[in-house]
Amino acid sequence: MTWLFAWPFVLGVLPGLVFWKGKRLHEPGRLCINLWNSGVAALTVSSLLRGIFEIAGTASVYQARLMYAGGLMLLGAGIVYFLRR
Amino acid sequence: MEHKNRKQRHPYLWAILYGILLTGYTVFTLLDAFVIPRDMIYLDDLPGNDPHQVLEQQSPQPGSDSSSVPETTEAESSAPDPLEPKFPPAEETPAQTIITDTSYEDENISIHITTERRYDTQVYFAEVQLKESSSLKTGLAGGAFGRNLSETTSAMAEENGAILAINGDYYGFRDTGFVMRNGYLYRNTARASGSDDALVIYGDGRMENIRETETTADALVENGAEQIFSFGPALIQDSEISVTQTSEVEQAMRSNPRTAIGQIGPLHYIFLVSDGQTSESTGLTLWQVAETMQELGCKTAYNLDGGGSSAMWFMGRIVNNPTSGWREGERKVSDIVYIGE
Repeated sequence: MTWLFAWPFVLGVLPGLVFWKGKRLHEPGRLCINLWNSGVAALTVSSLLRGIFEIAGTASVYQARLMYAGGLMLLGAGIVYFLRR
Repeated sequence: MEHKNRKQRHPYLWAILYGILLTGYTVFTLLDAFVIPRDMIYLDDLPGNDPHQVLEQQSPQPGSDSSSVPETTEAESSAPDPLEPKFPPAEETPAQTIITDTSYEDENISIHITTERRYDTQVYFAEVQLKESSSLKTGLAGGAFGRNLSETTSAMAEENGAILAINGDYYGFRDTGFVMRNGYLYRNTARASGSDDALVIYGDGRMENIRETETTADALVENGAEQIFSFGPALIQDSEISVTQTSEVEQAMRSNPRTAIGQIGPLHYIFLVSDGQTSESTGLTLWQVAETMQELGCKTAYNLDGGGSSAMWFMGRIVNNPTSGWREGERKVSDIVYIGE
């Protein structure tokens, strides 16, 4: 849970920097943005759950699955962006 | 225009639907981890209702390698206990049962409970001497093995007709770690992270600290294991303290209520419980628990679930002062270790 803030901070700031500096990049589109934000939310919640479980001394397979789903959504956002080009 | 208007009417539809889905998934995950009972095995469903029948089925067959069965050697059986027993030798034990507020004696079981103040903490330890190893048993919440099944230590002690009971390893809070109770192996998955120290109690009453990643549960069963606990860490190994002064159980505070179990000699045990996290009792570190167990003469000792789980029950009453920091009273746990006929 220590790095809970890192997911939205890095994954929110990073695309902003990329599109601010990348003048030749096209608009990502609504679907791409939705997928990216959903992935960030999933990773953030997964990190929160992991912290709760570590403090409690337990674990859950569903927390890991949420993390994988978040990663897949980020990957999907990237694919949608490149396909849209 | 109509398409553009439809999009403008629901600009946040994706966010709303995804928010509901993510919230529901999170709630389900928390309920699954902390509330919903699952993976249950009821004692009544075991092959034969008598757990001792199961034990006999798992014991090595006659003619098998005798070295796989732990036997007490002559040297071990004749070695004197480091602590002078506080009760009469077996041959002088009175036939009748003698019960006081802090002791129990009959022809098979002797229990003496002492309360001391150590490290600014109330510490309760029960010295147990048995004639038969079968008097050392374990009980499960709801009479079943499973995730998120819990009862108070006192309730389980009453249900099982215990004389003395302490909380166990709270196996039901995890999905990994060897779990064996009264001769039946419920879970043979070793823990992959954190401490993998486990305590094995064999059919002859001998205790041994092992590491789950260095053996298999089936191998322990073949060697005559009766109980396997999965919490840890091991406190004393071969009479030497096996924790450091900074050792701690994952996210736990350094000073905590504690529960520990140890063996002084053949069928001679110490059950230890301490208070903690209150204005009256600070609690103990793992090092302090290990030191105490070593001073009491334990050759083998193991840390069980502490914190709010720590509870010692004797003849109908809770001996210590269980607390979860802000709340007094017993916490529900998955299992107990108890002495009974």
